[in-house]
Amino acid sequence: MKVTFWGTRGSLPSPRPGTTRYGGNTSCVEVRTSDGSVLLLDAGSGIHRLADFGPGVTRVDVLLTHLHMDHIIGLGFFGALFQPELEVHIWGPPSATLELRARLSRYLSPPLFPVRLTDLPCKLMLHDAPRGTFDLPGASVTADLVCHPGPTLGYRLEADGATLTYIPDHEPALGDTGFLSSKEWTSGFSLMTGADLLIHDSQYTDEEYPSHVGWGHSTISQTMGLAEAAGVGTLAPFHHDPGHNDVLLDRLFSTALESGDWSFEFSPAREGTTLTLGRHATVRS
Amino acid sequence: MSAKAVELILLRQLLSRLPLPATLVDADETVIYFNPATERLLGLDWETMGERPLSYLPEVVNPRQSDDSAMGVDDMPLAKALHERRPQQYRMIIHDSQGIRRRIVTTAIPLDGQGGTLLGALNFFWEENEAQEPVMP
Repeated sequence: MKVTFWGTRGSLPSPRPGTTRYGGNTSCVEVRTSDGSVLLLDAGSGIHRLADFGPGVTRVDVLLTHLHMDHIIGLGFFGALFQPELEVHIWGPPSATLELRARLSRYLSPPLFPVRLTDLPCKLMLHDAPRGTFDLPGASVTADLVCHPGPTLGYRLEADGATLTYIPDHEPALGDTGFLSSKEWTSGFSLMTGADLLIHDSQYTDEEYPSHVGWGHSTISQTMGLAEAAGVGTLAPFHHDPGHNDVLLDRLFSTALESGDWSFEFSPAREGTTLTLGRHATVRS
Repeated sequence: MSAKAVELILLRQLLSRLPLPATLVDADETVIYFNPATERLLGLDWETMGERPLSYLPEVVNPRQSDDSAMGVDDMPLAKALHERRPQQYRMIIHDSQGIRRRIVTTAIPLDGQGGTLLGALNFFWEENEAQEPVMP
C-alpha cells in the first residue's frame, strides 16, 4: 500500500514560502494498493495535483470524512471528474436531512462554482458511506463517526496486509476530563487500534487548545497519547494549523517527540511524500 | 475491545456535567453510565457499581408504580423506551441506597442513530416536589 500526501494543511490552503516543506494544500491523501486500485481520502485543495492515474485505472474512489470546506474545496478542480471514461465514486458521511448529492451541490453549483455536479463528464456515483465495514476495489474499508462538529467519519483501510487509519479532524478530548483513561470511551479508538499507519489531526499546541475547545481538533500531544494507547506502528501528524510555518512545526514535532518514550515511528505528514506500508514497516520516499 | 458509539461518548460527557440525574443504556440493555447527579440523589457510586445489565436495576432502586404497586424491569421507562423506541414519561417511586422512597418524574427517550440504528436509551429524572404542579396525569 502506497500512501501519498497531496494536502496536509488544516482549515485553509496556506501556500507561502514558509510552508513549502510541510505543504500548504488542504487534506488529500492518495492510497494505491498492489492491484492498482486508487482510493483518495478527502478532496481538499491538494487533490488538484491529481489528474493522470496511469494506464489501466478505470475507477477512483474518493472517501470524504466530512463536508467542511477544506475537505471538499478541491473537488471542482479534480481532473478525474472531467474524464468521461473514468468511473468516480464519492463516499461521504450520511446526513439525517439531505443526501450527499444535495449537500455537495451547495458548493458545486452557481454562484459558488460554475459547473454543476450533473454536468460533470465522468461516470459519477455518490454514496453515503455505511457505518461499519464495506469492500471497495483493492481495500476493505471501515467507517465510523468520530467527534468533530457535524457528521464526520474516520476511516480504517486494510489492504496488502497493512492497515491505515485516517482521522484528519478529531477532538476526542472534548469535554472529557479523563481523556484516555478509558479506551472504550475514546472516540475513534476502534478505528486506530493496531494500525500500521495513523494519520491524525494534530492542529493545535497545548497552549492554543484552551481557546479552541469545541472546534473539533486535537493537540499534537493528545495525538501522541492516542497513538501510543492505540499501539500504532507509525504516527503521521496531519491537518497542520494554517498559522504554523515549517520552522514552528519542526520545533513542535521535535519537542513532542522528546517528551516521551514512544513506541511508534513518528513521521509528520509532508505534502508530496509517500509512505509505503507493509506489515509493521513504513518507508518514506 | 471496541469503543462506544460517538453519540454515547458525547452524551456521557454532557451528562457528567448536568445537575439533572440521568442514566444511559446501550442497545444491548446494559446500563453504561449514570451521572454524578444520580449518585448524589440515590447515594450510589458509579465506579463501584460499573456497567450492569438493565435487568439488575430493580435490585438497586426497587422501582414502584406511582400507586406503590410493583413495577417490573420491562415496565421501567428506560426499558420501555428501548423496547418500544418511543419516548416515555412517568411518575414513579424508586428507593435510594438507604432504602428511602423517592417520588420521581422521569422522561426516557430512545437513542436512534443514523440509518435507523438503535444506540440505546437515555432517561432523565427528578425528584417530585409536593408543592409542584403535576407534570402529567
